[in-house]
This record gives sequence, C-alpha cells and structure tokens, in this order.
Amino acid sequence: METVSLASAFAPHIVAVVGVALAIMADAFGRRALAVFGASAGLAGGAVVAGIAHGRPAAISGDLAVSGAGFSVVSAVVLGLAAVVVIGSLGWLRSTPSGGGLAALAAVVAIAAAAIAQGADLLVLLISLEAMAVGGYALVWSARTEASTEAALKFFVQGAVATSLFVLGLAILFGMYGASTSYVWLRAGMAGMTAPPVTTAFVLIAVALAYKLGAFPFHSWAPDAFESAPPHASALLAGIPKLAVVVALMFLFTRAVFPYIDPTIALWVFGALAVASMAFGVFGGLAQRSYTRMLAYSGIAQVGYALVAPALGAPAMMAVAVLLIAYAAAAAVAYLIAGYVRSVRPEWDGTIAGLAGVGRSHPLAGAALVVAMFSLVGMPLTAGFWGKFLVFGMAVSAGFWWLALVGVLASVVSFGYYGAVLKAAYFEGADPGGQGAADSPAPETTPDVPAVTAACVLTLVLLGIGVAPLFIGLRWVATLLSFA
Amino acid sequence: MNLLVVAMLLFSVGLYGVLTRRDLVAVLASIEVMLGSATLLLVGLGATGEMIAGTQVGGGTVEATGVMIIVLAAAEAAIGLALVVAVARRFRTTRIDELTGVKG
Repeated sequence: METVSLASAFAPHIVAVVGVALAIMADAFGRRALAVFGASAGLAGGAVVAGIAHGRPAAISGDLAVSGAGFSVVSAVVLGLAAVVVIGSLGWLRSTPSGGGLAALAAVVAIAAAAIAQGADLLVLLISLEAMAVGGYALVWSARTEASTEAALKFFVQGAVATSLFVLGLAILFGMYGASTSYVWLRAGMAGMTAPPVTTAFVLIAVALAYKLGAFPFHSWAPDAFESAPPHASALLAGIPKLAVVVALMFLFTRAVFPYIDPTIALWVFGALAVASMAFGVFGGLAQRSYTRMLAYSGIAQVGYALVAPALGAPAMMAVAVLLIAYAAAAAVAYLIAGYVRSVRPEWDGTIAGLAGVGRSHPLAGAALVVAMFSLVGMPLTAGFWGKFLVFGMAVSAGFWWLALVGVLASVVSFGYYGAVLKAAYFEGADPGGQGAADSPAPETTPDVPAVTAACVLTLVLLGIGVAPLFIGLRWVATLLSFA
Repeated sequence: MNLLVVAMLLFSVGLYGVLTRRDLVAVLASIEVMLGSATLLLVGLGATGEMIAGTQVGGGTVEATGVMIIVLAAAEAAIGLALVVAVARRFRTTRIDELTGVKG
C-alpha cells in the first residue's frame, strides 16, 4: 500500500462536517429547513469527494486511515445514502422542535460511520464508533415517548458495555504488542506471535463489534430501539452503521491485524454468530406484529448473512460490501415508508396488519415497499439478490456450504414476514372503490412527501444495481469494490 | 502481569455491577469502573514498559491514548446521565426493574 496525505483521506469527512456546521448555525437561527438542506448538502458533497477517490488503489495515510478503492466507495455510499435519508426526513425534522439539531446529529452519525469504514487505527475506530453511538442514542430518544426513552437507555447501557470491552481489547493489544494503536504498528509488533492475549483481545473486540451490529446474542437493544425511534431515524440507524462496522471488522480481522490468529477460531466465532443471528432473526421476525419491530429482527438476520463473510476471510470483503449496501438502502426505504404511512394514516398502530391497502391507496409508497421487501428477501432483479448471491456463492466455493445452506434456508423463511407486509399492503383492507375512508386522507393530514420521494429514489438505485449486472456482468462490481 | 490481574479484576467488578445493580446511577458508575480499568491497564503497561514485543514507546503515545479514552468516557457519562435524567423525569424512578414499557 502506498501513502496518501491524511487530509485527502479524510477530505470527504471534512466536507461533510462543513454541512454539519452550517446546519447547527441555521438551527440556532430557527431555520430548520435550511439546517436540513445544509446537512444533506454537506453529506452529498462528502459522498462526491469520496467517490472521486475510488480510482486510487487503497492507501494508508499517517498510519491512521485507509482510503481509495473500495474503502472510498463504501464511504461514498454511506455519506450519499445518509444525504438522501436526511433530505427524506425533511417533513419530520421541520415539524419537530430542535429538528435542525437532529439533522446535524444524523449527519454526524453518517460521518462517523464513514470514518469507521476508513479507520486504520484502533483509536480512530473507537472514537468514530463512539461518535456514531452517541448520535444514535440521541436520535432514538428524539421521539420523546416513554418507549423511546427506555429504548435509548437500554441502547446506551449495552453500547457502553460494548465500548468498555473494546477499550479493554485495545489496551491489551496496545500494551503487549505495539505501543501504538495503528494497525501498521500492531501488525509489526504481533508478527510471528500467537499468544493467549491476542485471542483474548480478538474475542473482546469481536464481541464489542457484534454488539454494535446487533448480532445475536448481543441484539436485545435493536428491536426496542428501531421500533420506538422515529422511523426516519431508524432509516439512518438500521443500515448505515452495519455497513460501516462490517467493513471495519473485515479489514481488522482478515487483513490488518488479526491474520495472526488461528483461522479456525475466527471461523467458529463468526460462523456461530452468523448462524445464530440468521436463525434468531428470521424466527423472531416471524413472531412480530409490529412492522418496524419486524424490520429490526430482519436486520438481525441480515447481520447473520453478513457475518458469513469474516468466516471466509479477506476475499469476501467485496461480497459483504455489496450485501450490506443493498441492505442499507432497502432498510432505509422500508423505514421511510413507515414514516410516510404514519403521516397519511395518523391512526396507524404500527402493526403489519395496519398497513392494509396502503399499496393500492398510495401507489408510489406501495411500489417502493415492494422493491424494498423483494430486495431484503434477495429476489433476482433487485440489489439484494447480488449481495446474497456473492456471499453464499463464495461460502460454497470456499467449502463452507453449510453456512450458505443456513443462509438460503433463512432467506426462504424470511419471505414469511416480508411477504406478510406485501400481502397486507395489496390484498387486504378496504376496496379502493368501496369505502373511501382509507384512501382519501383526512383533511388534517399532510403526506410526508420528502420521505416517499427519497424512498423512490433509493428504490430506483436498488433496481438499478439489481438489473445492471444482467447487461454488463459482475466484473465492474469487483473493480469498483476491490479493497486492495 | 500484576497490572493485568488488577485491571481484569476491576473490569470484572464493573461488569458484575452493570449486570446486577438495579439503579441506573449505579449502573453508570459500574460502566465508568470498566472504562477506568481499561485505561489503567493501558497507562500502566505504558509506564512499566511491560512490552512483549519490545517496541519503544515514544512521544507520549500512551498518555495521549489514555487521555483520549478518559475524554471519551466523559462524553459517554454526559449522554448517559442526560438519559437518566430524562428517565427520572418521565418515569419518576431510576430503577431498571420498574421500567417495563418495552419488551426487550
């Protein structure tokens, strides 16, 4: 790897932070809409700057950050997706007290996620994880209901324990092997050693990251947080952190520091987490009546699919990036639609059954919902298909067919709850011609147009990624998302 | 090695506290004990030079990292206490077992 200046490695983040500053200023003057536009524009600018850097081969800057190639692409996706979600939250943020501050906070979460994806130092990783988590607690709490206060507290306590585990792992590695937290130095210090402290530190850091991902058995904060948070906040918090943390986990465990641990330990740790998360996520999802809670359980299953990759080693990095980019976009669509439905049906109790007839009375939202659910299942012609295809295909060719088998079975079961949403949205509820009550919005409701617009934009992206490989093959994915 | 044992013991005390204490403020304090034990290990290993790999510690890296983690712990305590205040205002209690609104 060659070297690039630190300023150019963090250029996307710096651009995005300018947007945050603008948002905070605008919020101070009470201009909420301007704050939202500022935060979103900063994120979009950061995404463009990160996208420009993707042509360079991956390079480490100042022993702190890695940029170029796939790392910059992931940063660009994280920031770009967040820009769309923030602008899609315009309706919610304008009507919320301190909405401008929340827009800035959402942007900070996204910037921290982008820094996680590009970190090449345990301390950088820790600080970005913490910035992301602290923003996340506040965003969950921003619904200001009893449930969201309690969920935020639970999220906080578990997240803080995870942080402590991470700090302990960091201290062990730092003190014993490197006298530095940079991957480059740790790697030099650890060369040729396989001692119990490495394994201890490996387990501590793996558990901490599994907490942040919400993998089973470290998942219990996720359903509460994503159900009781405002749906627009869940749209941001459900997918983007998972993408960033898994990329960081792959870089750390398969490339940077931990190739020195016994590969069979890594296989069993991550393989067991993957299988347990898939099984728990899909069966937990089947049992849910609440739409957003079901999505949270489905997120646990998706983390399970993603954790197949670390068990396979470094080459699976590209595959898992595709999987989680597709998941992050589809989850954002699914939660944004929840926000939209809440705006047009104020009496909605949040259940899947309560979505009855939404697809017919609100065709755009219904179409976005269909594509998001199909992509989450992994139907061909959507982005979700290619993610699962690549990850499970790689598992089979690496000889771990049992991981792929569990994944495919879990995907089949998952159609039970994703299909229930589509069934409710299209085949249940009042006939559009019959009773007008469900279709004509009550006079006092204002449809959340930004949310449904953002959802439709992301839907087109999901379809685009799903259909493009049929015409131009998959080689471009490998080129775009090479992490070398 | 004594340092490692002390740090691990402190960390276990903190973890035990988080898992068993029913009062939110005590849980927060236990989290701080966990973070403090990790910081102690870090700074202690740096100060005693107990490096297996024998790399030189230079330029105050250990101290800088330690201070960074203390700042991080302070930030975390700030949002944690803010959440506890929010809970106390809304539920009129800070005991975990009296918060049963969400399923878990």
